[in-house]
Amino acid sequence: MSSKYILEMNHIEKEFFGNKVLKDVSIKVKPGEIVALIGENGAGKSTIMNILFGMPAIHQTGGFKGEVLIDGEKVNIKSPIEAMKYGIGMVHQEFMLIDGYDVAENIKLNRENLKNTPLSLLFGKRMNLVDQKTMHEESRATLDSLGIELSDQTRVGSLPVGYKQFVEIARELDKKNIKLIVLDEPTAVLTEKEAEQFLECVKKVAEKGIAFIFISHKLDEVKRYTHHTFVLRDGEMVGDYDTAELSTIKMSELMVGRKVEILNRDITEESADENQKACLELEHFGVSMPGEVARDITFSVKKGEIFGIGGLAGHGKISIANGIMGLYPSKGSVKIHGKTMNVAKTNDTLNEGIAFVSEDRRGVGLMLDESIELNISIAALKTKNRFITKKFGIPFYDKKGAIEYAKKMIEELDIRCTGYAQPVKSLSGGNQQKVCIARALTLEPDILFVSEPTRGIDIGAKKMILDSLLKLNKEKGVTVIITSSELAELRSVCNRIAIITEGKVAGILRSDEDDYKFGLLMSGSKVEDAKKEAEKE
Amino acid sequence: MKNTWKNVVDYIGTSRLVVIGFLLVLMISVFPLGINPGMIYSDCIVRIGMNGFLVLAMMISIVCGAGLNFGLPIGILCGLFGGSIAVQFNWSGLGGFWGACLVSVPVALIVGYLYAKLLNNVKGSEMTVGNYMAFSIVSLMSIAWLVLPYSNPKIVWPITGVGLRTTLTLEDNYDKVLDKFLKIDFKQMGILQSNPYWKDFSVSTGLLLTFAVGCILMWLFMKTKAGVIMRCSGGNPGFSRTLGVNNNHIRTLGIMASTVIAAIGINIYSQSYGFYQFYSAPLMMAFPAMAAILIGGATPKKATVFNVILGVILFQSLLTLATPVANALINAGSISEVVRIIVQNGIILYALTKIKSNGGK
Amino acid sequence: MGKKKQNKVLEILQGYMVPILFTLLCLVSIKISGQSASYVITETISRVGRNAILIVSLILPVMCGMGLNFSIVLGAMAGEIGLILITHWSIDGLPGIIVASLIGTVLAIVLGTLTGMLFNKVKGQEMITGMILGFFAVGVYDLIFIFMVGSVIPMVNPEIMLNSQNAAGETIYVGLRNTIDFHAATKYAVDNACKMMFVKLLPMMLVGFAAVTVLIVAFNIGKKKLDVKKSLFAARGFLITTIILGILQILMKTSKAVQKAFFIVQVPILTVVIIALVCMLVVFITKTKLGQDIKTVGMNMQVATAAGINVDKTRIVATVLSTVIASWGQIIFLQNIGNVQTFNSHEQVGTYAVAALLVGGASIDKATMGQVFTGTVLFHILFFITPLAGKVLFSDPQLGEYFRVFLCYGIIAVSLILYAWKKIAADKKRIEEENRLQMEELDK
Repeated sequence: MSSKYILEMNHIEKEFFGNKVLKDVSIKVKPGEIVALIGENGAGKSTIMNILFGMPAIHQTGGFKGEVLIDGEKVNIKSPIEAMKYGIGMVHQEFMLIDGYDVAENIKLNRENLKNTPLSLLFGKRMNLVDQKTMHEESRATLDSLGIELSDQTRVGSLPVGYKQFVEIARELDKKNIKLIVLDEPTAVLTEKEAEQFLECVKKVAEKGIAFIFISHKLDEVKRYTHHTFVLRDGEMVGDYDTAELSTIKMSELMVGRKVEILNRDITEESADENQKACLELEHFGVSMPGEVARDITFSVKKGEIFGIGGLAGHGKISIANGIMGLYPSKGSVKIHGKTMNVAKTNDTLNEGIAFVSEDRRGVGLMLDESIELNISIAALKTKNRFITKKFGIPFYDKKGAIEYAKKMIEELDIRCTGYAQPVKSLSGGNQQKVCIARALTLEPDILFVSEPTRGIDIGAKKMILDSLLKLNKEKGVTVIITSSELAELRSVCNRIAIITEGKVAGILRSDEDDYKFGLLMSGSKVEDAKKEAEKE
Repeated sequence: MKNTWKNVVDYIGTSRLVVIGFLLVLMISVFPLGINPGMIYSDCIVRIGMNGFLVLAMMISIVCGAGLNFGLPIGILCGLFGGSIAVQFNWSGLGGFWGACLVSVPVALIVGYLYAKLLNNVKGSEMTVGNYMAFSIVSLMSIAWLVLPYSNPKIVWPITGVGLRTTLTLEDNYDKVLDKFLKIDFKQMGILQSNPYWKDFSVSTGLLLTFAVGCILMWLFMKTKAGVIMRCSGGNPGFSRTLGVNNNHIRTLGIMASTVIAAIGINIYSQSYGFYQFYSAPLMMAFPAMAAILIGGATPKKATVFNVILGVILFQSLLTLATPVANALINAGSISEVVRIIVQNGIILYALTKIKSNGGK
Repeated sequence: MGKKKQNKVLEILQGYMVPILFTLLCLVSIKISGQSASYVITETISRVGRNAILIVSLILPVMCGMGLNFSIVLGAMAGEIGLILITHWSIDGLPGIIVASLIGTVLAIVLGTLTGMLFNKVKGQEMITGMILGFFAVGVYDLIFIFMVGSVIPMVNPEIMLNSQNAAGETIYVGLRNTIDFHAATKYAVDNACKMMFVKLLPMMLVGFAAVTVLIVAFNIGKKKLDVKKSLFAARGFLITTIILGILQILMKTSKAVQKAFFIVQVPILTVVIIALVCMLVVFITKTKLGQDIKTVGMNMQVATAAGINVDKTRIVATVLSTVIASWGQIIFLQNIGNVQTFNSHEQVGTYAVAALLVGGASIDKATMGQVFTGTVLFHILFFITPLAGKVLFSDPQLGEYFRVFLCYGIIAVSLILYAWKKIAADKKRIEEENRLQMEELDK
């Protein structure tokens, strides 16, 4: 039974441990339509796709509310293999390809054509011979239908990145019953030309009746190639338009929006002091961090200010602090208090009075099995030789002193725990973050880098953490540099905010400037170009 | 009351409690079975002192982040080299013993450094690479023992006059010097001679003292700034990087220390045993040390001095008591050897299944 | 362009470096030992015949990404138990061998499944786990066959068991003897089933290999539409063997020395047929869906999972196949020896097989049939020749023995190190490459 829509997801709601991630989201896709799904990171895009594919992460956390219809029929998809049976495919961000196989073997992965053998009667289907000839023939046909110049016998490992993406889509198309393909950031690793080639190919395929859901941060591509656009923000559907009705400015505005102010602050008076010296200067700074490459960062931070680094995920903002701390290879010039630094030497940077709270809290931010007291004191122990008692000239760890200090910190930052000896892995996210901040504070830094300070933390703890950063800045004059995906948070505490797009500084704005300017910078459009476009409408 | 009992059980772990329980059963059963408790308990104490340092060597390797030291035999070979020099030049007494250790140390430092460099370049495969490097080097050294110009007639093959013998007796050198140092020997001292159970009891104080000193030094080290940082680096390499710690540096120091401690350890072992064993003897010596520290509660990622002490006591006592008890019960002589192999390798297998491959850099 | 070609040549050389090195070593050792050519050839044929299948058993786990399967000891034990039982039940000759294989296969399937399940719990550390599992299994085997047979497991057989007097003065039988001789009909049963003089066999082999080569080339050109060069490359194993056999045939007719060397050599035909069948079985499996899955899992477990392949089950199947083939291999091995060292025969099976495979040029992640045979020949020549060479060089065969043990462990250690370096370098290169492309793009 066919209907107007190939896919309908109606009134989807999803909760993770009491946290509502999706609130009444509805998506409808017509056959042959290319539909865009855009939104900031954490807006809910991955969650709704996980629901569509029946990922275990969804069932194991209580399922979801709402209904999913494919071709007008209600379905209950419990696994990715079931999704495949219904004709839904996915082209992933990280290639799900085997480098050692040729194109045909990848296209037919786990769906190889087989020839029967007598042994299969005894030992099962897996004893059937692989029919290489038919596999290659069918793959060639699929590749031809895509109109790509690609041999089915080339080893995938030797293909340039752009072509790998074609193999992914060929794989989905080769599934005879395919109705809808989800493209997850497909052009993220492609050059401009490759992206164009890819999307033209997608257009051609769509003309044959296959629908696409296009998830991307590249708003010009969305504008050019999609028919319909859905905008998600904070788990809500804030935009359901024909793409023709939207400009990229409007798209970014909808994505970014105006969220509830967490803190009201009068920042105008504090940023008035233009004569303050720069304490951190970056020039053509680039960092090679997998997934977050910074290419050409130039800005300077004034002493005593609260500086924000924002931008969309994957555009490189996270790598800046990591690069300055020497955790990833970098290039370009970094000057701290006017002194040129070799950032590869982390110790030198630490000795200059820089402290860093990483975005990867559980990965590199904490020693999960160790106590709160050790986690707080370890950095200062290493760099500043605090918490040391000397016996016979050998430095011993002064555990008693560290415990006293930890108790003080626990009280000051209101860390909810059973005591200084509690292993940090059993603390809640917010309290873990407080421990990380406590550790950085113990270093008594001049400059403090904090990355994603309130990610995964409940609203109460959020306020407390931002408050403590503000206090630090006000009372001790520490320059605070916050990297965050949550623009609202940055705008509520920072003096100035640099927006990083495609690895470069798209612009530096004061936190009280207009919404649309932020959206523009994040979408990559130049302010003047987008203004012209808006005036045209 | 019930809560504290549960806490104790959780802290020590059920498998360990089973082992402790089994050990207690064995210890008690010597009495009804007519085995001389005095002698057997003294043997246990000696075995603990003999093997202690080798287990300490295993600990430092875990602490610095290199995991179970499958390359322990390499350190043992350094110690054997020192020992061979001592017997070549007829060193004797406590001085001779410490001389052997002293010669072993610089060799162990250099070899340990090279071995550490290798391990740092094969992160993720330390166990397999370490194991087969150790096996190859033991075999290579077997050729060396045959070819090196040892001349002392007491230690070379009688017919050819070239090459070390497989086993060298330490009777004329320093057989049991540590054991005898300050030994509390009931028989000699005439204590409790009328008591059939305890008349043969003795405590090899020197040996235990050496092990105790080793443990204390290790414990103190773990409390220094360097020790704390090493522990953090080994357990959380990604985190330690952000503190400016050079993890490779730390691992190198740890492996070098492990090699040196193993070198000293084999000399302690041999003086108590009364023989130096060359050629293929060191091949399998890493495994009992591994099993011991694992049974003491360590994991390939975490070890403390407590694990070492508890482990060596449990493991060695178990082995020492098993043979005579098995003999008395089943009249099966070598069953304890077979049981040792099963228990030892079973413990290591279990520990291997608990390693979760992580991305610590 | 020149550099790229240079790199390619280096790469090819590197791939063949190890076998070339070991060939040189073999030739030198043979020369030093002063043994006659006919002795060397007879010994080699005998050893290759009895060891080949054991090394073939290693191929599937390598393909499946589990590295070198040191736990084939368990398969060997399964085969051994089969032979011990047929000796106990007096089922002799070839029928006995068949029964032993069946028993061995069943046992091997059980043991292989357990091993596979263990390997699934230690992904990434299968090799060291396999080694320790081998030690553990030997312990359990010893426990059963020294202490439980005759006591807990009722069994009485004065021929193969140890006897002692119990308290009441009766003779009791507990534990197997250290050496168990097979019955006369079972000894060498497979080998002796059909023997042919090598000189008579040679022309037939030459024709056979040549025919297969031509067939493969014709198939590739005709059906697969490959060009001549590629087709020849596809049949390279058979082509090289044909050429060697051809040269040998010519030498046989012309050179007296060669004639003398091969005069007494006899080839056990049935054994060779069995080896060929096992090889064909393995090759067949690699061409099935199962084989494709095994390869896929070996190349990338995450992608395999995403594609819907049951990775854990596939790995268990690969392990079971390896264990079963090893059990057959041990049976062939023991019938050639004629008896079983009950507690020693299986001890070094894993180490020797792995070393032989590596000597043939295989690596932790790649093993072909050609490498199996090259390795078996080279390794086993070295194995019996080095003690003899040692005796000549140093008047001490012991030295030669230690040297061969060192080679054995050394080749494994070196392969492991090279593999670890390759993996780390590949990861580094991949990240560098990704970032370089991203950095480049913006400079446009």
